Amino acid sequence: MILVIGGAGQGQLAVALRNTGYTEGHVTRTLGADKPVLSGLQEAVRNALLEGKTQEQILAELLWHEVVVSDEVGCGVVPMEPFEREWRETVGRICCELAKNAEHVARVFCGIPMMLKGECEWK
Amino acid sequence: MLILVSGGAASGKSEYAESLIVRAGHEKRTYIATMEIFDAEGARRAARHRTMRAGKGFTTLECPRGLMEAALPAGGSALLECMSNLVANEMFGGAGEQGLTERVCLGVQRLAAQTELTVIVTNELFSDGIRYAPETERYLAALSALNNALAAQADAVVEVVCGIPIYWKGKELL
Repeated sequence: MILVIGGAGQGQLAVALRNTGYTEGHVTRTLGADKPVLSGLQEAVRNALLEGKTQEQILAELLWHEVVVSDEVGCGVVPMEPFEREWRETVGRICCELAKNAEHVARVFCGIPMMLKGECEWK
Repeated sequence: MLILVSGGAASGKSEYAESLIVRAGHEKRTYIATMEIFDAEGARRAARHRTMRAGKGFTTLECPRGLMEAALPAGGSALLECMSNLVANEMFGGAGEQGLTERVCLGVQRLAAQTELTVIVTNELFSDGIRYAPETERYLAALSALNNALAAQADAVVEVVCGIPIYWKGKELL
């Protein structure tokens, strides 16, 4: 698996598609869809939590994807709303677990990838 | 040796900070806990951290405020977790905002002087672009000023992203 992260709107998906050869047709934004690329992990996690799924259940549905793309959501003030805290925490923990399993982890800033894990030339 | 470890919520920074202490291998390891527990969520967070630390040889020292008074065994290591709680406690339930940066910096210097290795966990809370109420803005200003001051003193500064360390200053301990 390749995990691609970055702040909102940093071009993570475009970078991931450019470097893996996948196209928009290979991309899903919902859990459980039979596509190699899952984009918008943070929103998929929010929906899954609202459906009552646990972190472990969500993780199990993610591990077979070849590419997972997520926004980084943990670098702000702790939210007042308990569900928002749970969501932020779950996205972070799932990203840590995916990163452990991933061959590569790329962090994207202004459309430029930085490889945090594994040797890999990304443009 | 002083190492500052930062990262967002659930970024894996605590686990990484613990691994630094374990790898350094000092026999006496003090975990300086700063969180005050008010509700079930706080209790769950503390329990999660305790489970993660179990078997790593830490003695816990509760220190929600007044870091300057913390007395540690000589020649060991210390892990303080975390600066964001300590600053909130000092600011809203301790000696207050006056001289906060200096007070906490001095506390960290005393820790570092008592130990062979001090690891400080702090938080990256500064990237959501939201304007908050004045009290929260003052808290953010105090914590960020402190992070900068500690980074200037530290031998190494590391940001943890998805459990992966990124060194902004210094190098990873072997």
